[in-house]
Amino acid sequence: MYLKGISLQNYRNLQPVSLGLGEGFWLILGANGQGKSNFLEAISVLCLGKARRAERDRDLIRFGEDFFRLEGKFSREERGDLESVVRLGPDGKELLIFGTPVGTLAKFIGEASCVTFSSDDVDIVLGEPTARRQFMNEALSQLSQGYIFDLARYRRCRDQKNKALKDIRERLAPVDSVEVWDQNLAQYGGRVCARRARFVRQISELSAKIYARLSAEAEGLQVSYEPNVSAPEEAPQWPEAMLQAIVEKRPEEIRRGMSLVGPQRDDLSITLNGVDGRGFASRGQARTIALALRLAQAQLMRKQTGEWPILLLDDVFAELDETRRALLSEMVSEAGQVFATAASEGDVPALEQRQMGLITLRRGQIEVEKTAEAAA
Amino acid sequence: MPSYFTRPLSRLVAELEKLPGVGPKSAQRLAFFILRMNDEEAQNLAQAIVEAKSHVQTCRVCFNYTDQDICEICRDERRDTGCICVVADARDLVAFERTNEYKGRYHVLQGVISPMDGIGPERLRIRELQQRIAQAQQDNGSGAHPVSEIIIATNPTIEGDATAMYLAGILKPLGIKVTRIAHGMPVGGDLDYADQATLIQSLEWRREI
Repeated sequence: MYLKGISLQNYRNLQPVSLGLGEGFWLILGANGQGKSNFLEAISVLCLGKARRAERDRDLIRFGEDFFRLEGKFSREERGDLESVVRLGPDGKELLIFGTPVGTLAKFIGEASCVTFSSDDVDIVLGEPTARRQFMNEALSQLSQGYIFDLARYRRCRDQKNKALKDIRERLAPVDSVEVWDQNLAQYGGRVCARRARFVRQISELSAKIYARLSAEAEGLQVSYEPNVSAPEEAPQWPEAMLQAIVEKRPEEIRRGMSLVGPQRDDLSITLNGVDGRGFASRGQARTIALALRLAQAQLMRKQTGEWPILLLDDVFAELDETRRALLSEMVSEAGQVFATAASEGDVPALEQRQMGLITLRRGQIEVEKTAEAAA
Repeated sequence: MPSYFTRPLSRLVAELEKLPGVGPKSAQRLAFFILRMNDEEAQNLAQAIVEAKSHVQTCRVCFNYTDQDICEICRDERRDTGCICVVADARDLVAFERTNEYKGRYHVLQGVISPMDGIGPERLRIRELQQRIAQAQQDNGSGAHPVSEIIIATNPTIEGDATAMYLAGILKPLGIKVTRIAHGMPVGGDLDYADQATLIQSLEWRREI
């Protein structure tokens, strides 16, 4: 999959522009603060319908304006071309596919897909469990509409149940009023967990192989799913296992006034040669693990959808040594389209097999200096 | 915020803005439209609101809207008293009535359970449903329960499902058959075009043929 063209209007600090793009490796050059990351983010918004870094959608609108509009034309191998628009104005957000509004985010995500690699990815290894859950959610949302639906229903149900538990604690509602939420909670929560378990199994295998290639010392990386409920043997048994755990925890939930069972308490265990890497890996190790996880995510998407997602590498090369830079550029060269930002050309390894495209960014002004040539 | 409107106009805008789905912009548009109406049209609108408010009440039995003590559906002798379709809202009742297929009675809950909105079961017309069923039993004397089936037709949302669970919990012990409306593929729908969530639901709720 690749982006054939993109138009931006009032997006963050970027000047309005319409660019023709194409397959291949694109280098985006610019000093810090010129808008390189914002440009990559705009591409990801066209795939995901929202921005990872934004607290509120409104923050994406250029200062002093009241709307932004992004338009992307994609070329897809399996499903044919795609035109998508994300527009945010005073009346809210609109997601359009071929000019037709799609009602929900779930129907928009997955039409075009991308994987963003950024320096924040070390948080997957060194940060709080939230960062690891976000990694799973982001990857799974692009792989399965059903996951988005189940997760949204789960959250709604959990919020209602938490309020019910609070009301019970404050003696505003009878103790038995909490039970009506549990069936659905276990149903949707169980399905979220079942998909996460499967995803982590797949990603674990892929990332171990990639990590072995990237790390000089052939350390063994192992990623496994740490659910907050004891995992059943078969995926269809998840809802039942979750319901059982909920019932067991009910007295404690009522005492503490919050729900204590479910995917909101999941984690991923990340070990190197059997030693827990979470919080303990060196920054260099964490960076390589994160890189392996992102590459594994991209490979898994390629395996399941039959198509490479667009790869967005946000200042990733600068942090790597010469050997790893070369390995990374070799690994990403399989993808149909790669955008990599850098502050100077020397940060990116010279590519022999294909001709790099060059985009420059100065104070929000984007210019295509040279077009990329696709690999033969 | 300073008001650019003269007082009576800003009052009208403010009142309209309280309506569901009407934001500040729409409220302004409606207010200006009303100002451009001729006197008779405006009078009719105002009167219609006052009249509807003073004459429409809820049915003593099923809580559907009516201008009488007991609504037409509850008074209709030809309709099956043994089957009660429980809906959240009077609009849902209208949707079922349009089908012209359902010949039983209704019960309007006037909402669904939603702790986040401060709505517990006691705020809904559930006690009245229990009383209604008990009354039917009493009138019938001994023998089989006069209410043979309760169809729970709340929406398949989280709150609608929870309300259905609650109702099933209190009605089943009475020995009454309690059913839930199906959800999944729309009739005449194309599998190819259905979203994944709908497909998953329809697999889950599949039945043997």
